[in-house]
Amino acid sequence: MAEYGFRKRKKVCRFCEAHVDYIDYKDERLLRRYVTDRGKIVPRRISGNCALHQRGVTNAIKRARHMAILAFQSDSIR
Amino acid sequence: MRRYETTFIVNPQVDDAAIDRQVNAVIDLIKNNGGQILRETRWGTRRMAYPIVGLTQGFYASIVFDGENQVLPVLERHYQLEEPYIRYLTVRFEGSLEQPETVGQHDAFEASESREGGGPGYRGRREGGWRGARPETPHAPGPASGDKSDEEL
Repeated sequence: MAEYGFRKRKKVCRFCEAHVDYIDYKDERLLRRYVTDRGKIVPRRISGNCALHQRGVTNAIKRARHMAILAFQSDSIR
Repeated sequence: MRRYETTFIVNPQVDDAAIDRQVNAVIDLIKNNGGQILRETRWGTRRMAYPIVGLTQGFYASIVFDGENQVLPVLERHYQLEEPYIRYLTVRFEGSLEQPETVGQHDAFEASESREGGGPGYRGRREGGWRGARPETPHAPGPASGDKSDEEL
């Protein structure tokens, strides 16, 4: 670790910190943070979520897509 | 008896009275099947993320209710038979009724994340990012360097 010249920061799941136990699929603003510009789901190694909450996010995103709250695929980027 | 949430989109091109009728029809259906309405939210007409049956806007409404599971097929049949519903989703409700309805503006941890200004700043390999690209969030260190250091030590 020392050879990289910085101390590795410990990742903590944001949802665990905030004690969120249910991730709502209607919460568009929250879910937008967990999709890329193209509409892909951001992987756990980037988002830093724990397995439980990543599953919750994934589930919510999929529900939101079905209800046309989030896009399956963004056409704004070509 | 379980707690469910049903959300649906009504074609906004029918007149307001008809939209109202469709929402009430769902409520009545739940009540007639022994359900109890706990919360009813009409989000109003909003833009959909992608067009469905040629429509770009939809009238959203969601209802939280307690009911027996026999209600669900009845409800589903209703959605399928009636023309103006363009999408529906019924799920177990696991949220809390004390919390305000979310409809897009709620944020579970607003204060801590607002500095990021929206997206996570991450792009996949096919999205103009490259392998090992450092995301801008201080929260997430670069994947390549982080993993390697663990292995070597």
